[in-house]
Amino acid sequence: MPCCCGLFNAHRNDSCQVVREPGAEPFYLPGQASWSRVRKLKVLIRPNKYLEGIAFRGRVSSVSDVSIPDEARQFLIQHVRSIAQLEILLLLHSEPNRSWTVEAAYKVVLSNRELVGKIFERFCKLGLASRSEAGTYQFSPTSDQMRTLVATLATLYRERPGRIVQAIYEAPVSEIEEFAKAFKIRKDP
Amino acid sequence: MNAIISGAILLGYWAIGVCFSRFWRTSGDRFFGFFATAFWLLAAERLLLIFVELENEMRPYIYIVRLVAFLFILYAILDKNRRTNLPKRSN
Amino acid sequence: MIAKIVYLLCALASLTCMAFLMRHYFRTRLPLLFWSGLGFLLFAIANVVLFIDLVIVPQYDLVIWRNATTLAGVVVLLYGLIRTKT
Repeated sequence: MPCCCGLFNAHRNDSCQVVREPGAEPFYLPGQASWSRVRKLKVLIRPNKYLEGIAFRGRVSSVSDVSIPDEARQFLIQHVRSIAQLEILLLLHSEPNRSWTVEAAYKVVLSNRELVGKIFERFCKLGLASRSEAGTYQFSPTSDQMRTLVATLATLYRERPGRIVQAIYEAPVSEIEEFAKAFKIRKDP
Repeated sequence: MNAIISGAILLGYWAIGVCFSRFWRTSGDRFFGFFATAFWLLAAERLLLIFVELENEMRPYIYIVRLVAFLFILYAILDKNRRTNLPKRSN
Repeated sequence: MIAKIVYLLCALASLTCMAFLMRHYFRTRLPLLFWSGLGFLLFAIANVVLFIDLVIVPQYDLVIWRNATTLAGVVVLLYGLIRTKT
C-alpha cells in the first residue's frame, strides 16, 4: 500500500494509522511523529483520485482501538464535513475570546482565503461562531453542550487525529442532501 | 389506452410531489418545497389535459401550467445558488 | 409561437436538471442522483417529442410516444425517490 511518510518530514513508524476516504484504497499516515504543520497535501490514492486537505500538526499519538464517543461522532457528522472545517473550528476554540479576521485565520491554517471565509460563514449559520459588524469572527457556540463537544473534539484531535479524520471521511452521506447539493454550481467548502 | 397512461402520469406526478414534500419536511430545505410544488403543478396540468377536449381553444394554454412548473424548478436552482442555505437535520 | 417556446423551455429545464444531477452522480455515485437524472432526461425527451408532434409533424399523432416517455420518466424518478432513506 502506498505510504505518504516520505511526503512529510517525519519518520516512518510501525504504528501507522490507516485512514480511508470512502471507496478509496487505504493508505498509511505516520502514526507517531512530530512535524510542523503540513498543509494542503494531495495524496495519490489511485490514478486521478486525491484525498485533499489533510493537515496535521503537533504530535500524533500511536494507534489506539478506543473509538470516538457517539456524541462527538454525531457532532462531527452534523457540523464538520472536512479537515479544513475542523482546523478552523479548533482554531476558533483555541482562543475563544479572540476575534478573527479571515486573513488572520488564513495565515494560521494556510488553506485558501475564500474557503476560510465560507467556513466562517458556515459556522455562523450552524451556531458555532458569531460575526461582528467589523467582519471578524469569534467562537460563540449557542449552547453549553456545543461548547463541551468542541472541547472534546479538540482533545480527541490532539490525542487521536487519525480517528477524527476517519470519522469525518466515513460520515454517512445523506442522499437527499446530495440531491439538493447537485444543483449548486459552486460546491460548498 | 392514452387515458390510462395519462392517469398513471397524473398519479406519478402527485406521488413525486409527495416525496419531495417529505424531503422538505425532513431537511427543512425549501429547495424541495419548490420541487414538490412543481410536480403538483404538472399533476394539475395532466388533469386539465385529461378533462379538456382536444377541440377546446383553451387547450394550448394548458401547457403554460407546465411552463410555470418548470419555472418553479429553475427558480429552485437559482435560489439554491443564490444563498448558502443549510438545511436543519432531524434524526 | 408561445406554445413552441414553452415546449422548448420545458425541454431545456429538464436537460438542465439532468445535467446537474448526472454531474454530481459521477462524483458521488449515489443511486438517487442516477435515477432522478435519468427521469429528467426522459422528461426532456418527452418535451422534445411534444414539440415535434405539435409543431414539426402536426399531421401525425405522437401522443402515445410522448405519454409513454413521460410515464417512463415518472416511473424512473419515483423509483429513485421511493428507495431513498430519509
